[in-house]
Amino acid sequence: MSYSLVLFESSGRVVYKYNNKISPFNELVSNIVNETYTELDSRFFTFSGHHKKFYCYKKENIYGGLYFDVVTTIDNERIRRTLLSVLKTYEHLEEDDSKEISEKTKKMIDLQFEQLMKYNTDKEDTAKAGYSSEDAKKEQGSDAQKKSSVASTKSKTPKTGKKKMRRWNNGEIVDDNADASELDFSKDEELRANGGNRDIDFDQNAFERENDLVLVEELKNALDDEDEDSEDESNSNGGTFRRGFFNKVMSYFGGEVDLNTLSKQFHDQLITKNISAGTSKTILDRIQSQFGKKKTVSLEAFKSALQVELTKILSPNVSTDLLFEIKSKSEKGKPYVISVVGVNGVGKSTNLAKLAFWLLQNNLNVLICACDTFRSGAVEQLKIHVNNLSALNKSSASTSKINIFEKGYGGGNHVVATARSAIEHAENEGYNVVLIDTAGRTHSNAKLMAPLKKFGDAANPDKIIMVGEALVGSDSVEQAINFNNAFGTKRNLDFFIISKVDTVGDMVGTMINMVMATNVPILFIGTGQTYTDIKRLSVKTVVDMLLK
Amino acid sequence: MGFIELILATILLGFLISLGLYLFQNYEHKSGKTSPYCKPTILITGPNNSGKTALFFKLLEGPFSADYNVSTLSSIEPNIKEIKLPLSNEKIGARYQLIDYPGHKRYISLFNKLITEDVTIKNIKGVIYMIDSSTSVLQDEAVREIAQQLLRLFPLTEAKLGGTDFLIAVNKQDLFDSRPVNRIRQLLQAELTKLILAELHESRLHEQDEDEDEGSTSLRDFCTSLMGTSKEFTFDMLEGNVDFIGGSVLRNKTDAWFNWIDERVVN
Repeated sequence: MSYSLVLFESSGRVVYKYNNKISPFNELVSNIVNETYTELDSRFFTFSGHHKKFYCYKKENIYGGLYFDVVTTIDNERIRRTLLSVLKTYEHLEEDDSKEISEKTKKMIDLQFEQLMKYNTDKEDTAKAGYSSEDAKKEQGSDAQKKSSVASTKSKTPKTGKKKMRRWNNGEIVDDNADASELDFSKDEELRANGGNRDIDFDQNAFERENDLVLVEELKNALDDEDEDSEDESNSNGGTFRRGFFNKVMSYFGGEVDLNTLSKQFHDQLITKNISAGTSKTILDRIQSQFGKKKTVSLEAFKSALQVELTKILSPNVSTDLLFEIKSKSEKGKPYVISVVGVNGVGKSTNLAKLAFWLLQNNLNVLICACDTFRSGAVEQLKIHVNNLSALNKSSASTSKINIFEKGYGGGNHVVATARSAIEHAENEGYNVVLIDTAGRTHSNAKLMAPLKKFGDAANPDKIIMVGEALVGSDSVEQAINFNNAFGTKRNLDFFIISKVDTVGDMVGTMINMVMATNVPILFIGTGQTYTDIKRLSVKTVVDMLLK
Repeated sequence: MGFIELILATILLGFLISLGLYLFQNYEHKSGKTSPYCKPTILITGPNNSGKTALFFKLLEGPFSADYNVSTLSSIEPNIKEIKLPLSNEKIGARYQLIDYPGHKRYISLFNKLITEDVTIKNIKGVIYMIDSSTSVLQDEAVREIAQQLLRLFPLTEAKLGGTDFLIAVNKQDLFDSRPVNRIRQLLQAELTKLILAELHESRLHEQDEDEDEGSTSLRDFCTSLMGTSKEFTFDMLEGNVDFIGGSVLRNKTDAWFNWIDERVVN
């Protein structure tokens, strides 16, 4: 088993490392950037990859990252506490901007980390059945080798007599250490006053043996000092009106405005742009956390932070160069398979035809496969598109060809069979691209969604593109998530095409909804009725529209 | 004071007030527009994991100390700091802004905005494009991505009169499997030729983008004007100089790069 702990700044500088294994953390960073992690808490998130598990806690500008190359049994809460206390230790002791981390800080962090690891191994030895705080403590006390203990499981148990008893369990040590235990007790009082939400307690006696009391004292101070920490400060309701008026006036003069007021204001604006309430809240929460402990910011600063955030969300994190991929696959003699999925009536066939026209113009041979074998007239509709396109194609000097592959209507396995034989046909006849049209389906109907997985497995398209219309409001989140999950755990959607963008003016929030929900980038947008009305997404334009 | 003087004084006063208001509003407007990053800049960019941040901190904190080393991970945010250049002569101490921009794909739009709107191209005195030269990293895929990024950058940087100078800093030359600098230059030229020809002859979707995405239309124009009648792209076609220099941040073989930076500053 291998594990490591690093503290790093968002600038990329590593300020603390437990051992030299820092390269795995690059994967963590790319996950942070692409937002593919699982959020456990607003600042604490985890990510598991192939035989890897990362935990990360973010505190303002500093990230604490934890890496395991095996599955661990440590519960999230314990890891969160350790990471938090490590970060606090660092912050407290490294206030002066020195380049090198001091030996002392390093030692303290080492201690805390080793403690966590030790706890992990210990836990496997002892009975797992719901250990109480006392058990955990006793076990630690009995281990003479232990340097420190960050016992934190007892956060919710009221600290009264129990706690003292625990200390007496350690016998001999208490006498020669009355001083320290008194200190410890006072800390308890303080914590209780604070609601006792974060108590990292140290088994000082064990420390004493190592003559490390000074270290512990300092560590304790560090953790105590910053106990007020974040989370959520309740807003005083008194004088809201007056403050609101004042804020308004201030904002005209470019002054600082209350963060919450601003956030609410932008929340309303984003909702009018068709962004769903949940999505908007997530975005604004992120921005608020960026400002950290500041309570007031200028309108400009907030707006530009929002602009950056929206731009980040919309920018694709993968290459969108379809033509290149198609060509490199053609060189191997294989057709490139693209399939479109979506809810009924969003424009799957229309956008498929637009896509086909674009590919034709790039001298690629296109085979359209009619896999909507359900709705009457679907096949005929595609035939008309193909006729139109080939007529258009002949009039331009292009050498490429387009055709339709269809096997009529039918249920059950018919779709899969059609798709398979279409791909085979394309390979034999020298087509570069196969575009598969599928039947529209309601995303909330499991019976209709289930065949998608079978279809995905059998046809195994190179790209699965979901067509979503810009007209839907908050339902778009559900649509995107359901379609993204429909292909099983191994396969996801690759791109979105957002259709009917010309009909919504600047209410383009649907794009944000869908991308935020699934992390799938937008490939094209449909902006009209003719074959040429398909465009690349301009992130800047969309962001400007949203903030107008 | 007569009636007429009074009227004249009132008119004058009214005029002065309106002038004052106009100036005030205009000033506000302007001050809102200039970005704090609009300063002479040396830009460090390139793919992830090529050593940008390491070079950044080395430049700032210990350009000439032999044992200075900082361990880094991929940056989450761009690093922007002020630096006094040239490095070799502290007395001159001209203030420059050093930007280290991470290579994440997600940040491409933000990066373009930063260099075109905030910093503005005319302020960019030089671009250091870092490349990891080890064979294990520099595969076809990576070469292609680098070429694509360069092709996105060139139309922007060439817009300035005389172009912008590029340093292709071929990093990690200390590794045993690193490719030689000349070979990398050839690889990139070949890949860029391919991309430019593709841009000229193939994709026509870009044409319809018009107002939506001016970037790509000007990319096409740029390619046309750049290639002229020739069939192959070479870096000499660009107005700005493109220098390929090998080195290694970790092994402190960065003197040639520092000289390059100093040259940009002095000239």
